Amino acid sequence: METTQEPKSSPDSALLERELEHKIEELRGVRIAMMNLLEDLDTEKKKVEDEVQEKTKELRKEQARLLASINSLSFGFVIADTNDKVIVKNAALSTILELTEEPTSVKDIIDSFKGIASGLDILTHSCRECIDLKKVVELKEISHGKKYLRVFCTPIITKNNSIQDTTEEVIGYVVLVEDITEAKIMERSRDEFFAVASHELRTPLTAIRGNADMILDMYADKIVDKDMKEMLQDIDISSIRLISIVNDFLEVSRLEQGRFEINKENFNVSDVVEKVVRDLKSMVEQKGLSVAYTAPTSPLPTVFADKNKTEQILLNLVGNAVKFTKVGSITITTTAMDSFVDVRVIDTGTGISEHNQALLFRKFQQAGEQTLARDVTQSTGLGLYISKLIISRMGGTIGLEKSEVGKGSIFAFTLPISE
Amino acid sequence: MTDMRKGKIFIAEDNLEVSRMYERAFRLNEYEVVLAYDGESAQRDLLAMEETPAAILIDINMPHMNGLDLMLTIRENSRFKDVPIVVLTNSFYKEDEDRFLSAGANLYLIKIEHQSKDIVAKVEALIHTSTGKDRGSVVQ
Repeated sequence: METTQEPKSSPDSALLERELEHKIEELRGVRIAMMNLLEDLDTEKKKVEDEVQEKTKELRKEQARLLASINSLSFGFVIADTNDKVIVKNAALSTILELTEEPTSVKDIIDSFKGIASGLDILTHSCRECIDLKKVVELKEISHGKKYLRVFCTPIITKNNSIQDTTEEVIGYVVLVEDITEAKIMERSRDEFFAVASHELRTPLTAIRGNADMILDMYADKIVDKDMKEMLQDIDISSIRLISIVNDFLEVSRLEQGRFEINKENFNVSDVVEKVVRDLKSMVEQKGLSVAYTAPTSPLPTVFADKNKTEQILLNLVGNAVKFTKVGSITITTTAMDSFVDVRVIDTGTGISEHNQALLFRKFQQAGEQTLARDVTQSTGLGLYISKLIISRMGGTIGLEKSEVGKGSIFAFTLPISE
Repeated sequence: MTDMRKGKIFIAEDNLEVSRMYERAFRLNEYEVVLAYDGESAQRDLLAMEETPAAILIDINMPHMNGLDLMLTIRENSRFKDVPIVVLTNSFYKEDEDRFLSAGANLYLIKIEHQSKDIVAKVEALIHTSTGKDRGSVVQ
C-alpha cells in the first residue's frame, strides 16, 4: 500500500514560521497602536479644531462687540496704519464729514474737509506729529463747512517684550472727530444773551440813575420836602447798587468765558499798595479807621502781572476790610517769597466764622446770612469770586489766611515774581 | 427865541428816556439840541441841517442804520470832517472802543459810567479843542 506522506517540516521552517507569526503579531500590535494613535490624533485634531472654532467665535464676538462700540460712538472714529491706510472706520465719521465715498486713506478723509487750507495742513501735520512724537494731539476747533469739529489723533503703540528688544513701536493711529457745532452755537447764544442783557439792562438804568442824579444835583434848591429828597436819594443809591450788580454779573460772565485781556507787565507791588492806600485814606478815616502800608525793609522784587487788575483786587480786599471793621485799623504788608510776592490785608474787624469761611470765594456767596443782613446795600457777593478768577489768570493765588470772630481777618494773595 | 450862543448839539439815540436826559442836560447848559431816534433819520437830518452842529453824539445800537455806519457816512462829508463826534454805548465788550476811535470818533463813552454833567463837560472840552484848531488853521 502506497501512502503519501506530508513532508515533515524541518526544525528550521518551524522556527521561521514562529518568527513569522511573531512578526505578524507584532505588526498587529503596531497596527493597533497606529490605529489608536490615529484615533488619538483625530481626537486631538478635533479638539484643536473645536478650540480654534471656539476661539474664532470668541474673536468674532470680540470683533462684533468692538465694531458695535465703534459704530455706536457719536463721534467719527478711524484706525489707520502708519501709511495712513484706513483699517477701521465707523458710520458717524461719514455722517459728520458728509463723506460720499468710503475712504481708503486718512488723506481721503482730510481732503474731504471743507475748511480753510491752513486748517488742513495742521490736520495732516497733527497725524504725523502723533506718530513721530508718540503722543496724543488735540485740535480744539477746526471748521468744516458750517460745522465746527474737534479732532484727536492718538498713536497705537505696541511694546516688544523680548529680552533682546524692549522698544516700543507705533503701528498706527486713531483719529477721533467730534462735532462741536451745537456747543459752539450754545456758546454764541450765551455771548449774544449777555451782549443783549448788558445793553437792555444798562440803558434804562442809565436813565434812572442819570435823572435821579440830575434832580439831586441841579434842582436841589427846589426839593424842599425832606421825604421827597430822601426818596430821590434812595432811588439814586438803589440805582447805583443795581448798576453794580448788573456790571458784576457781566464781569463774571466775561471772566468765565475767558473774554478778558490780561496785560502783564513788570511792576513793583509797593507802588500799587501805596496808590490804593492814598485813594482810600479819606474814606477810611471818615469811618474813624486807619489804613497803612507796612513796607518791607528791603525793596521788593518786581512781579509780572496785570497792574490795573492787581489794583482792582487790592481795592476789593481793602474795601471789604473797611466794610467789616468798626474800630481799629487795616494794615497791608508785602513779603517776597521764593517765586512770588505775598500781599496781605489785615483788619481788626468782625472776623468770619468757620462756617462762613467755607463760603468765601464762591459765586454769589457772601460770608453768611448775618453779613448779608447787615450789608445788604453794599455789595453783590461777587467781589471775591471775581478776584479769584482774575488772580488765577495772572498765575497767582488768593485766599483767607486767618480769621477770628471779634478779632479780625487776614486775606492774602500772591503774584509771580518777574523772571 | 433860542439862545444860540453855544451852538447846536445833535444827538442820535434810539432810547427816548436817555435821549431826553441828554437833551435836558445840554439845554440846561444853554445848548440847542437836535434829536434823531434812528441812524437813517439822523443821517438825513444832519445832511439837511443849515448850521453845522458844534458836536454830534451817536449811540452805537440804533435801528435802520447803526452808529458806526452813520459815523462813517457823515465823516465822509467835508462839512462834518472836523465836528467832534462822541460815541455813546452801554456795550460791555470793550473791544468796540478801538474800532470806533480808529473810524473817526473823538471820544467813546460808556453811558452808564458817566453822568450827564460829565458828558456835557467832555463834549464842551472837545468843542473848545476843535474850534481852537480851526482858528489856528485860519491864522496859518
